[in-house]
Amino acid sequence: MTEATELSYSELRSLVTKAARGAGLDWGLAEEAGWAAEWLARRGLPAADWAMLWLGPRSEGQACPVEAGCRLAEGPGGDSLPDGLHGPGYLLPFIARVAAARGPVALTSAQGLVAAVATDGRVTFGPCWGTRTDGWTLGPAADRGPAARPVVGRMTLEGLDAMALRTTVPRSDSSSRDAGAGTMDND
Amino acid sequence: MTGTLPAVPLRDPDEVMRLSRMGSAHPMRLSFLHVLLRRIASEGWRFDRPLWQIDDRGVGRAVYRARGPERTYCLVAFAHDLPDEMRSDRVIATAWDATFALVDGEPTLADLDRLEANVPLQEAGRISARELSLSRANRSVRLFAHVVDRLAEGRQPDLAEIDAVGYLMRTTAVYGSGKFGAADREDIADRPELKAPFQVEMLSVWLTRAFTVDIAEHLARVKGGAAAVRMEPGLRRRLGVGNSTGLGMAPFLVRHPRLLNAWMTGRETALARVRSLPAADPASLAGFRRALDAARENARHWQSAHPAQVTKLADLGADLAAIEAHLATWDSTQPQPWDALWRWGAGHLSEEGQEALLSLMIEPQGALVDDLARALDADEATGFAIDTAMSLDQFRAILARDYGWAGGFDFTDPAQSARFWYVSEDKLEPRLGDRRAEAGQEREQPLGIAMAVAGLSAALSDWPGAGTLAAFLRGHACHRHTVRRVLMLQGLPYAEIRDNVLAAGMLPIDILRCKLAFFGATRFDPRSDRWVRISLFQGLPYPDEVSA
Repeated sequence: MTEATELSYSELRSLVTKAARGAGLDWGLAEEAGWAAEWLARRGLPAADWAMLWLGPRSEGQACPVEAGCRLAEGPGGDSLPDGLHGPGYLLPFIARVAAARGPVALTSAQGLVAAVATDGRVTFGPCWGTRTDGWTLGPAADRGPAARPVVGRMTLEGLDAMALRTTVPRSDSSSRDAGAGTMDND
Repeated sequence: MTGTLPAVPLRDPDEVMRLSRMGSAHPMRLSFLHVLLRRIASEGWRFDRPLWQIDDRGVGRAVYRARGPERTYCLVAFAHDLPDEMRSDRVIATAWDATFALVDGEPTLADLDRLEANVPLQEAGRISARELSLSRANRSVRLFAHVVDRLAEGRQPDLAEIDAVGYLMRTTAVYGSGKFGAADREDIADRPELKAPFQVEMLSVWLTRAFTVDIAEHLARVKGGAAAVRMEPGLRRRLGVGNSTGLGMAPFLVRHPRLLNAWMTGRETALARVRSLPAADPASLAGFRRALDAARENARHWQSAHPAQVTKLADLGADLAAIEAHLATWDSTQPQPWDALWRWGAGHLSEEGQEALLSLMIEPQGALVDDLARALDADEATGFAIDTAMSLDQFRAILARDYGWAGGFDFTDPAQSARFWYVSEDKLEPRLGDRRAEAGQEREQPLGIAMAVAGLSAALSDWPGAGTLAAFLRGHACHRHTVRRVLMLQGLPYAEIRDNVLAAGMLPIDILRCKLAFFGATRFDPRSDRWVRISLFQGLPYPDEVSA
């Protein structure tokens, strides 16, 4: 099969539920996986591809983001996530449950923002989003409202500034001189 | 007597939700095809057939258009030339006499071409969010040939032949709700005309019924030329659409408990309203009599060779006669006369007869009960997330209150867990296995609710009293499915089949009959414990008869 297939949401949900069960999750958790798949797909996120990231490792006995997501949403147990979880996109629907209960939350790593989830389930990805968890923890985030203006990290801002500066011409003595500097304007 | 008579309460779910009684259900005026036909009539829907490209072999395509007040739906039909040896009703078939898709709106030529490349393949093809259902039908070879031959000769078909079969074609699957790429139920459920359950499927089958007659008349014209005639309307009415259904339909009622609750609550509320009526007015008395006469007529034509159904049909015949006889002495002027009739029935009729009486009593009470059709659907998403902060004491109390019935089965008795439900690898269809003789129980589907609740109760009694569900579930992920179900179904008395669907003696046809009665199916005819044929829309109008 080379072409892509458009699925209905219910087909995707059913498929991921069954695949999760097939990967060894108990039925109740498999249902959570199916629910999470539809949640992601309805937000335009690649639910099927992300499922493939964790289904294989899960069937080999590794922890999966659905189990971790339920723990996170259902506490108690702290807001740290185990390292090395594949397919961390499947954490997002459960983090949205946390956000609905506690207010907007952010996943962060030592390097910065991984993702933020608003109370209405809106997801903003940060620069540290990845394909595996690595020192990720959950904490409160400011709810910036539905038409949020962009929040940009320091390193990103510096990087963008640096690239933007390439549209400018470096300072030279002649440019300074020709601009009128060196004479007094307040005469 | 002055003052208001007390309202009669709804029947106890411990009585209503047993398989033997569910397996005695009859169609009634809240059944989904009747809901559809009432809406179509009251809103003045219009119907036509804008496309008929069928050749002399009966091969080609046709479009049936249904125009409601806000939206249009079209059934696209593909007629095939199927060799007799390929005709099978089993879901494992790969070719059919006709295949169909119900389109949301009007199909373009590009849509028709796209559908022609996919719909005849059924499960092996794909449809899109523009389509609402996918289905297929096979001819009743004997009756179809008879009807074509007679019409070609300029004669009408034989009445006895028509009544012996009752349909020209039977559908063998009607897929909706997102299956094979179709539009998701959630995305269309807010349309008033599709809010009640299975309205897409019922509309599709009803338009299919028109096609089955049109294709027979078409082939009669090809064969008989100018001598051919069309079918006489009275005869045509006697034809429904047949349907062959197997185990695949059975898990639905377990998987959709909120829907089941809504259906049952609607029906039971209707019964309670009628029983609560202080008096019986002449119109409803006459309507009841007409319904009884129609039921007796229907029972005369209702045949089955299945031993369980033979017994039920004998019970039904005797019970309808008993109702007829009782009417001579029933005092319809007493207070709450319908309740008196009902209570007499509960004491004198079999379950088959009691459930038939329910349908008869509701039938003439449209003004009193038809509004209940608006509440037959259910929000199945709410409450999906488990409230894991709930204390175990609170959860135990809910479990004891709502699932006491599940304690009635002794799962140390092997007969109570003799079966297991699984999905076959070859066709991805539900099957029922023998737990002790067949492999695969580690892949059991979670449908044995009574046994699951027994397991959950045992685990809870071994767990220290304090704490929350979160802690319990962390140690018992295997019970998460059941915990969610218990919490989601709080306060829904008719959500669970209060029986053991794993028991050795369980008859899957009981589950099928309940669901099919809600569809509005008649002539329930089991061909085995797991396979039935039924008829839909038999005796009811055709689109061209309701079109303004």
